[in-house]
Amino acid sequence: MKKFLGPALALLLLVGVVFGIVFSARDKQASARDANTVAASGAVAADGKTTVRILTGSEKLDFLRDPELAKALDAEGIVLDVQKAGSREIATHPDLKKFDVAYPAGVAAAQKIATATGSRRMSNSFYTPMAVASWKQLLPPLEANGIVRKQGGVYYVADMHKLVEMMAQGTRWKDLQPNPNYAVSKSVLIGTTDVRTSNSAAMYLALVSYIANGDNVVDSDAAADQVVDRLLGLFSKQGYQESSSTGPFEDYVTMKLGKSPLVMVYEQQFLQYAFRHPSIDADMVLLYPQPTVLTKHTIVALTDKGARFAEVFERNPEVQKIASRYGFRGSDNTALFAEAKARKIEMPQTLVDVVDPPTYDLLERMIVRIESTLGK
Amino acid sequence: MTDLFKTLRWAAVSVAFALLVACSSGSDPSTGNDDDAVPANAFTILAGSELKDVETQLGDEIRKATGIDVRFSYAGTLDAIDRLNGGEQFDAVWVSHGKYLAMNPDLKARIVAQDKIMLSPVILGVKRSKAVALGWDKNDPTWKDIADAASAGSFTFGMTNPTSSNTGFTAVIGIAAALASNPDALTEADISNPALKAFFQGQRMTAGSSGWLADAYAADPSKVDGIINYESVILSLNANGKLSEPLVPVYPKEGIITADYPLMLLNGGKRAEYDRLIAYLRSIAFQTTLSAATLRRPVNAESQAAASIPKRTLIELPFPGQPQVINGLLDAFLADVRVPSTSRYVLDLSGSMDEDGRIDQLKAAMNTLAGGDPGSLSSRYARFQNRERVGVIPFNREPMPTLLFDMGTTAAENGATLASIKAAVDGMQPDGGTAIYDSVQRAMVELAEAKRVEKTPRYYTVVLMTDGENTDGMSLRELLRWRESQDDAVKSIRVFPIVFGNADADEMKSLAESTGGKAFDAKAGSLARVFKDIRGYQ
Repeated sequence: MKKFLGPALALLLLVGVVFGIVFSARDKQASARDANTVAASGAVAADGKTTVRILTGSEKLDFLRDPELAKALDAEGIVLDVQKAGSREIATHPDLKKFDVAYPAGVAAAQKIATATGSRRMSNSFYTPMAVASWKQLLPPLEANGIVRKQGGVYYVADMHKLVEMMAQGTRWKDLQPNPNYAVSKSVLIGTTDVRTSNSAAMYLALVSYIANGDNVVDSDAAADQVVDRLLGLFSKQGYQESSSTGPFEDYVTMKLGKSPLVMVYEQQFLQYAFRHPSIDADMVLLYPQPTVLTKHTIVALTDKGARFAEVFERNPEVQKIASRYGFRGSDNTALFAEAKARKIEMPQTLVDVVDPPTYDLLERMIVRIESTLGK
Repeated sequence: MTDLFKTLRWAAVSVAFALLVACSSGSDPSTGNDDDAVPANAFTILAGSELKDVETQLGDEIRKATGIDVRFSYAGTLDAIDRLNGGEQFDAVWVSHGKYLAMNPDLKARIVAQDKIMLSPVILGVKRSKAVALGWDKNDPTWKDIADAASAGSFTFGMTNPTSSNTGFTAVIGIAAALASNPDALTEADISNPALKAFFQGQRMTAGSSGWLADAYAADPSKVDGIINYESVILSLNANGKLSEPLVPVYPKEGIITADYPLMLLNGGKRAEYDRLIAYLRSIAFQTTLSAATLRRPVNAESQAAASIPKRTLIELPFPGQPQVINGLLDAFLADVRVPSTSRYVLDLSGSMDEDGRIDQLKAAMNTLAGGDPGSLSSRYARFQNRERVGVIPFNREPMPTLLFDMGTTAAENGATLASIKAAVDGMQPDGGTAIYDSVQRAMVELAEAKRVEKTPRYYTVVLMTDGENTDGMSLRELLRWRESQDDAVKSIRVFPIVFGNADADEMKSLAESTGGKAFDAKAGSLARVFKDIRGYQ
């Protein structure tokens, strides 16, 4: 029951919009009270600007602190105060109440926050596919074994089944021949963040669970348990994992091939890095899993100020332009593709092979099962 | 390891965490920072002791460029966890390796933000002639090769104690992972791997800090063939010209573990200062300066690494994700793997110990080593361990009969010995004069006798605690002159004096330096903490 991107995404967006409209009307009265208390506490500055406090997943930190974004929002009377946390940690963040907006990566994390806070005002205008950041030195063994294939200039992980199988079995890099550059005894593993706290690892789980479930989205408790038990090694063998997605990507950039041969990243992270560093390591290469999953960056408005921010963020065309400089895909990607082309980065313009993550509850069930094995 | 022992260990871990949580919830601001009052606008950092070089060389530059009044206090990794959980307030904590700290559930919740500042892998520095003889200068050995050389007696090394210093800690975890049948993250089953014990048969030098280990090696490189330390420390030793023969940096094939020096914000109220500090510390220019000054690797890929840092791919070993695996590994290391310790505690029971509750402090400190404070991580690992042989020589106008305690090799023996140490310490009564050096001489003679007949390697150390000046028996000069006329068994014994009460700090320092030990000051802080620090050197 592979789902197709177009209809599914359209339906989801439609549902989101309807939700947004219905519930913002309903919340109006209650949040009018909030607005009063906020005004009393002096958060609206003397110059009439509104300070909106945002708790975001770390992958959007730089974007949200962009000076040009600040300028565009300033024109609308909004000033941002941005802090970061693991997307799946936001719902339980001790200071969540002090924020106007939670901006996690992923619809599931957003739902968790909505449940925790009672907010029902969610919207998303940007998304990014999951990809694997890797190194050209590893292409010989990966291509020779049919795992990676180059198509239209783009490198795809064409055989995700084989890769997942190898990871589950504990294949070492030195077992994968020909391997002139990296015949080490490290296991072949895709490095991720901590699945317990971060969205990017949860998206990875969504992807590999689909593969391990015979190209089906996990749709029952029984399937979830069975699949997770087969995939435990993919998580437990990684050892310590960072709770936020910038950790592994930073390791990829600074500690390179020795620490991070394969890292699950947001396409956006890689693009942002490449756009801002004209001389990136020429050995860096982005692999696109077939199929992949999308991460939708979802705004959860926690106050009226937050709702105002969400409205401006979706409406203002300048925001989309700045977002594309940070590698986010949205409704209009012309600028993004042009930027990538200028940098000689090959990226697929359309992603045809996209699967949906399992429902929030099933994903959560799988995470809890992994957690109980990994320990706390 | 018996099931009973396992159960006890688990019970200890649970109790430890329960107490940690209990302690931290009742934080007391009066126990705040060390000595003088810190101004409210200062940015306080509890830092790993290996970061002193950053403050010494670049502290003023950082303060000037950021306008932030950065104040450093120093502690070992486990000690830092204890101090934070004990309620001490800092704006940030900066350690060489934050993963273990971030696994502590109570601390994890307090970390507002964290950013890596620099990198240095923990590697092996091997004396050039030895590296050439073993072929390690041309081909990277595996950890297994090193373990084989160590257990065959053809390679010896120095390493810090893993419960007091990060390099030893990282090395034990890395080596255990590398030697495990599966190089991926360790599990509890890998802890009792015999290859690990073989590896540590080659250890001949221990230390409580990476800096002291480097200094001790430089002072007498004949003791070992190499040291396990940060790449930056090994390159610095080579650069400062103190060594007659350089150390070849050796990067074992299976991989190493790299310290990534995360600066972690604990006080959300200082967010703006933290962001400013991070922006500066991670800037291209500062990262280049930092690398040139400290020989650590930059985290900013656009900065220049110092020229002496080898350009090579560093294969990184995975770090365990489960704290119980790490705790189990540390327990097993202390109990079964490490070279065990034989020691003499030379304790002043002169009349002046009755003043200012000194005798109670001494009893509390000894009680901590006898396992009386299982609630703190550092105390738990500082207690006397399996296979350890402890002698206590109380003294006043002359040394009293030596009390010998053998920890044995089973949980039951361990427990019984700890109980008898406690009982012996409880009964101590201060009275009379102070014959410091007669007592130290007795300790050295006894340890040398034991060392001459012992077949397997052990560390031999004397801990001297005195609160006054020498009033009876031989003088320090006489002791040192006597020591010079003795054989290597005597001369190899390091003395760790503690300056307490009205003790003569200069004499204590001189005694430490002459014997290759280190003097500790307990005048300001607690005697128990100093006793724990010294445990790292035993």
